[in-house]
Amino acid sequence: MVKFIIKRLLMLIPVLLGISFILFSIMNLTPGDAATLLLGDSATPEAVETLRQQLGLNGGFFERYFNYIGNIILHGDFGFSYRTKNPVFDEIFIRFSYTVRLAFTAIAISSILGVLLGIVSAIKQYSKTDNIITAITLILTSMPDFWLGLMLIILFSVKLGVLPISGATSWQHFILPGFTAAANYLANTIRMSRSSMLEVSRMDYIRTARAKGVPERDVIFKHIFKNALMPIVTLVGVNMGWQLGGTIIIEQVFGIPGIGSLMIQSIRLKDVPIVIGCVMFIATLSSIINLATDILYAYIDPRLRAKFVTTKKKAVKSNG
Amino acid sequence: MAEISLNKNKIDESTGEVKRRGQIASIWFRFKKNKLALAGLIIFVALVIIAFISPLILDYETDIITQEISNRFQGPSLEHLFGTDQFGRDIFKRILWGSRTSMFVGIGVVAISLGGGAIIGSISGYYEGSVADNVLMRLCDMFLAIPGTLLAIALVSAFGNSIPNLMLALGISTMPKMSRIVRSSVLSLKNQEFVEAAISCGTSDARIMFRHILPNAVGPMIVEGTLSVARSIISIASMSFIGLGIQPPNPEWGAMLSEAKTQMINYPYLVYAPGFAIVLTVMSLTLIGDGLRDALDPKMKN
Amino acid sequence: MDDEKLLDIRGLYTQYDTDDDVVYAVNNLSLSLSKGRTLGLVGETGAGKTTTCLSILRLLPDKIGKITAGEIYFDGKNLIDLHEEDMRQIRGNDIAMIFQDPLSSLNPVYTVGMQIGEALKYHGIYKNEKEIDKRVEEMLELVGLPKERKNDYPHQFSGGMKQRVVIAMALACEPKLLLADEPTTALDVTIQAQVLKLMNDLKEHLNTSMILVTHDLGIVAETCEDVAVMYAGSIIEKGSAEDIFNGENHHPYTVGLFASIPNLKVKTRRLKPIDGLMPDPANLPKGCTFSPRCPHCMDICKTEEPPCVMMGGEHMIKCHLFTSK
Repeated sequence: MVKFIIKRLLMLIPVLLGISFILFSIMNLTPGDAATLLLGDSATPEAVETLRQQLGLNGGFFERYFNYIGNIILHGDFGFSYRTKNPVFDEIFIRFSYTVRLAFTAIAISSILGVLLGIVSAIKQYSKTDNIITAITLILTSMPDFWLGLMLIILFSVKLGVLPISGATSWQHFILPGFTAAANYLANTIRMSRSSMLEVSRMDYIRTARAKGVPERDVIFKHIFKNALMPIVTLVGVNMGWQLGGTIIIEQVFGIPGIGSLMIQSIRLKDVPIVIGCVMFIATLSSIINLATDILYAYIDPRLRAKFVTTKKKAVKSNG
Repeated sequence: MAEISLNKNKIDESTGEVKRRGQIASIWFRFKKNKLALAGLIIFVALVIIAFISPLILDYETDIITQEISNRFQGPSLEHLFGTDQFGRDIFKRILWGSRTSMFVGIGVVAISLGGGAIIGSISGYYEGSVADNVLMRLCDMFLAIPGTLLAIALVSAFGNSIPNLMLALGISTMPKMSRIVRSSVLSLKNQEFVEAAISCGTSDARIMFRHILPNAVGPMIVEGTLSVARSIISIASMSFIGLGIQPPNPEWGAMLSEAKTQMINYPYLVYAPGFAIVLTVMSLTLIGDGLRDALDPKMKN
Repeated sequence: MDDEKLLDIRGLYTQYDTDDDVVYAVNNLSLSLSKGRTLGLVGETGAGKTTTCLSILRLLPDKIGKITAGEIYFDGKNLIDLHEEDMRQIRGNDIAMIFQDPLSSLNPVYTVGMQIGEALKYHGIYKNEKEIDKRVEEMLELVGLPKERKNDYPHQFSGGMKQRVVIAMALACEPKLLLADEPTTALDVTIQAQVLKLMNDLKEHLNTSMILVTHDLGIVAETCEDVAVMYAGSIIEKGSAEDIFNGENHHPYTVGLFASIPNLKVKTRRLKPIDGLMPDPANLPKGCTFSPRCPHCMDICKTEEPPCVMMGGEHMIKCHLFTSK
């Protein structure tokens, strides 16, 4: 098990290196650099040159890239923000706390509501309820999230005046963005839970359970649901990865200073260490979440648990 | 089941269906039984017609971008169906014109990502396990680890802000996913008997790939392409909304929403119409895509 | 005689409404079974054997399958009139079913012990966990599996062992009637014999009646006292095993069925298959459903449904050929 986790985490390293190179290249494609952008057009060439020296922007492309990577590998130093001069991870963690709050609101709403509606929809397949839920799903997937955000602001903040328009200073500030960010994932979760429940309900062992006289409630929640859970867990895991990556547009709509806002601001200012730092952070995070989902599987499905046990035994053997 | 489908084929022959078109005809037969998909198709065709005839009845200079401040913030009326915006321009006309941009750019994005994805996916699927496959797939992994919106934003700010660059940026950022889809359908086709037969006849790799495998992967690619146009239209609107996509005064729906946002507290009606236009377009494409998927593979239907 | 009958099906019609058409799976089926007897239900794939069993348990696919006419008397009660909750009490408790494929009949995420104990739990025969547990162990040993294996999951068992588990599960509540739907088709030939013997022994032991669905006439000859031959949703011939295997008069379909299996005693050059295919159940022929394939087809066969002709004793043949006699 430990070996499995370590192996998975090691596999992340080449991906992170690749990401950093891709983003470093993209950010270096255009003329103009952070020094000019930070100081503005009115700055003297001398001032720009001094800042450029300070930020280490002189030198060839590969020289700068290997400097950057070398610092990370040798000193664990991810650099500092060109804009604020703070270490990259200080900047990220300040912003990340907002994103975490938004992400967990959204995940909670989309997972709980999504699974519930999906189950209802599957149980009442082809009924009016099912049709209504399917229609909602369709509308939610067809809606740009920022527009849904605007509509919610108009309804709840402008017309009803019950929730704040933008900002991130109280928990009320996270309700509308939470729902907005949940919308797309809610639709996916409903679809997935519905089809997964329906698929399992066609299995022979479900008929066997009914033939044994198991009451319908237990057939649904014990026999079908536990088997249908696997793809749902995957989806929630993937959703969580994306949500924690910052919902860039939604943070813009509601003025939340999360990691998405940080990234978009940093791209505009060519604050390269922040951009790469953010993406590496997100990639690591979603990879850890994926790993956690895989481990969670083993607790749901005994067939996979068996696999884990054998890897454990093998590990013991190779140690001994 | 087998017997039933056998009978169906007989009926098709006896009613004089052209045999060669049997497959397409039966896909269409299943597609048109799906009322929602048919509704999606009708809406989409209507939108395409609007996109084509709007330059015939409207003039870009006078109807779409000319500002008439005296006429600003007129609420919806018979004269201005959806009202006028903060520059006094008719929102209805702008929405009609906007369908051109959304569809054109949306299809362009998918053409890029589908084209690239087809090449990458078929090479890496056909030479499964080779160095090329490994390199391409690891590259895809890396790109997939970067949030799509972020990648598109970074690319647009690197290439510079223009419609072709936006298409390219969105095309590249959706290419890895498309490559994965093509690769997996190539993989499943590769081991089927008809490909093995072609290999045993000494057919060249290129010919097997483009004459035997790709034509059979076209179905899932069309489905994915249709759904991808839908998603791209949302991405385009999102990019324009944050000012990195299509620029005003071009009446792209996301750009219209971006302008409307500043005024929406006092004039909320500015926000409604462009949003509904996006929802309608995206929904019609989603319905078509889902309907096609069911029609292509009836087994997959719940 | 009548009160000895455990199961009595009269004029059952079952159909499936699919997207494209209506499939008439069971048509005017009448069947009865006395206590402690084993009935072999024989017929080709698609003849409606499984549908008949599912109709008895009222477990037809939701919204697609439905019983349109007929009565199913079990222990004097008409199952069709029962409330769903009362029906649930009968399932697993009074009537148990063994499905065709043991490999997919067990829920992969629960232990076999839990799955055997489940029926006991829901029918309230055993009061506490401990008693249920004891009974589960007893059942496992009864079907020849070590009781320690109750904590294992289905994927840890082989096909034959899974079928033993399924049998233990079905018999745990000592049902009065066991519906066995091709219980051995998915198993290796060597294991088939073991499983059949096990089922027979247990049946004797618990005095259970059984309907054994199969298309294997060899199995029928070995295990069944009564035989019913099914074609296109109805019983075309039934009687004692003696009547069917050694009787003089047979339905043309039964004759064809026997001609299509190898016989060790008679030297044959080649097997004789029945010409043609089973009719499309969505589009049944008029009159006798077998008429398009029947070598003795008469004009009346194409227009009128044949009556059930009693050939003496319990032997019944549904065919116009025998009406004159």
